[in-house]
Amino acid sequence: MHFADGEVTAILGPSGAGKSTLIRCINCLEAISGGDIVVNGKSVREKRAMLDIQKQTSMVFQHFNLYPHLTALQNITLAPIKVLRKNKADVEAQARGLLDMVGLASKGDRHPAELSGGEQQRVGICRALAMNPQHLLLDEVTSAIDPEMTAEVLRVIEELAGTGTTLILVTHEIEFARRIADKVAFMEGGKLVAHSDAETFFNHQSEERISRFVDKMKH
Amino acid sequence: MRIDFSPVLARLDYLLSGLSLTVMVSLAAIVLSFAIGVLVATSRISRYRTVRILAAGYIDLFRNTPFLVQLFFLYFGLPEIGIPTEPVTTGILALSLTAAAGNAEIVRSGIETVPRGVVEAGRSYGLSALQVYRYVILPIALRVAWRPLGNAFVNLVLTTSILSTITVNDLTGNANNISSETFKPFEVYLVVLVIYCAVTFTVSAVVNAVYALFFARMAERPVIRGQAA
Repeated sequence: MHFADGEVTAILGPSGAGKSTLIRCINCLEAISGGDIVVNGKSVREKRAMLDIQKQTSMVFQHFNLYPHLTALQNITLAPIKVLRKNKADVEAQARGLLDMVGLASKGDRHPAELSGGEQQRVGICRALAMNPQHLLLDEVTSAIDPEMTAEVLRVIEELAGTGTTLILVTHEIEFARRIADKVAFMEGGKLVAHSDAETFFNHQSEERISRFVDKMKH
Repeated sequence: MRIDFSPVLARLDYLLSGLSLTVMVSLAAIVLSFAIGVLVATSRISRYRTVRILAAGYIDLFRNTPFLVQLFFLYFGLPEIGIPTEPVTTGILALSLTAAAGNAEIVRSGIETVPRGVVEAGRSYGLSALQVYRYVILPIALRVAWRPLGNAFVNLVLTTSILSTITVNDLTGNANNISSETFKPFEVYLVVLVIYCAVTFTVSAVVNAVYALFFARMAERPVIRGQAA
């Protein structure tokens, strides 16, 4: 399977299929037991390449995982300052820009506990984007949020599609995947079952099993 | 027998010089025991088995033996194997080592409350193991551990009185001297009790102020929604 630069890939499949594990392996959060993943020519199997890969791939988590002791702004600026060793003032300016983009310009000084789920996740997206990653990994980013809050998060992701960042998103939002994905991967039982253009996947699906899954998820 | 405070009050300067030593020893031991405690706590949950075992051994050793005996062992025992000892430094060392064992357990319980996902987030953006500890784990853990640590600090201040048994001229040491000089133990020790009380109240106040300053805003409510799953 190949993820081209700037492309949006949705990874679909039933629970336990290994979707999250796949993107956690790309981000070097989990060691792989077999095979290989290569990010910009560097293998995740190589210990020395880990930091480089983590700088190029940023993860947005299902449960947000914001740092509870830091403000929204500090959550965003921590890694760019400590890992990329960027100038604090520059990073803060960039972070304010990102918060503005996701509609949270006035909430930079709030702590995570003082934000709603949807707001926390948008901060989570800003935190990932502040690393200026080539590849953004989104792990079921809306599944822990109240339904009425998901729209605001999805809108942010939709705006990111087509900006040159490669998006790899694990999702259960079939309609959303249909709208923004260029490619769709379908996983089941730890294996890649199908990988094709979104158009082909949704409208000319040859596999009975996958069509049924997609139909079921629509409702 | 008449109650008479005047012999004690006449020697108040001497008593207060003991107090200043008590304060100095307490501060040194609090800082040292905190630093060693954090170090031992992180070692206790290290990824290396040997480090974990050493830390656990240290904690068990100091928590399961009486402080007075530890103190005597260090002060009277070490010179016999050629290590000269001095009352104040040996006292500070013994206090710090014992208190550190307790502090380590408090800090470790704080570290164990840090949600896995938050640590993962730090790692995923490329923070080194040390940076994750410094900027993510410890601030969150210390918030939880701070009040129990405050209790430990108060306890430590009170325990400094035992150093008088190895000739340290702290508040208790000087009180003993005044008592045998004046034959007024009731008056002497009553005044000393009041002074200790004032010291520990001050320690508690400082602990609370530090909490209000650094930790209170962090999260009044339990954090990380959805993390319970």
